[in-house]
Amino acid sequence: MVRDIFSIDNLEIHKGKSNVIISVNPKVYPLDTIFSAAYIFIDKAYVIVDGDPNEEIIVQLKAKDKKTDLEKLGRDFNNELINYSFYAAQTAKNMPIRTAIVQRAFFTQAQKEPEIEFAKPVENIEEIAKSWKPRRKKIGKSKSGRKRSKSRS
Amino acid sequence: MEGKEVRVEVNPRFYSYEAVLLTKKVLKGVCQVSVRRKEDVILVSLKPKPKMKINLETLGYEFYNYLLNNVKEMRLGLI
Repeated sequence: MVRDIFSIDNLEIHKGKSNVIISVNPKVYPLDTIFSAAYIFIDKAYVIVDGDPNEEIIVQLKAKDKKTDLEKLGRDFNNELINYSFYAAQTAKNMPIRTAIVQRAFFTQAQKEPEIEFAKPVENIEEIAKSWKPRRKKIGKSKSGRKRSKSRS
Repeated sequence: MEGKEVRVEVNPRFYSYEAVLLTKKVLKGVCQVSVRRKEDVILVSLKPKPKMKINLETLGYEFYNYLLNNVKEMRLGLI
């Protein structure tokens, strides 16, 4: 006879109801990590978080598909908890570096742009008020006064 | 489950009242949602709209999944 309810490690499997109850120690895994891990299972299962946030957190996963391997589901959840704990630890470790990079980026933006020196305005406008004429090119005569001849190359 | 509605008890230590109200807003098109706040529990009753053919048990569980999504996003500061 196959037992309907059985426990393995921190898992309690209810085959008849196709759900698995996982007990999590909140001192090991913070609530944010538990929610992040639980969120991954939204597609495969219905997730209910209950219990006492200081003593013991109970996560109930009810499989959407009745053929789902419940033990694997529970163990996958445990793995996701570790995955997110590691991610949170790495994020905390890299926080000073990230802060420094962001600060540097803002500091560069906040720096004063170099002032551009503009030409001084002309005080006496008559000095520049001369009619402009295009220069005429002297055609046919070189500086020495001789006619230019086509150079043969 | 009672008649044509499903009642869900939510633990306010994990799911904030604001998240429950946000979930109510999401499911408003599918069912009538009423939320009552008590000392250590939030009571939610979900009643599908007349023309909707929804399994009540599934509706209750779906409510929890939507709630989880909202709580997670609120904790991350995305909402």
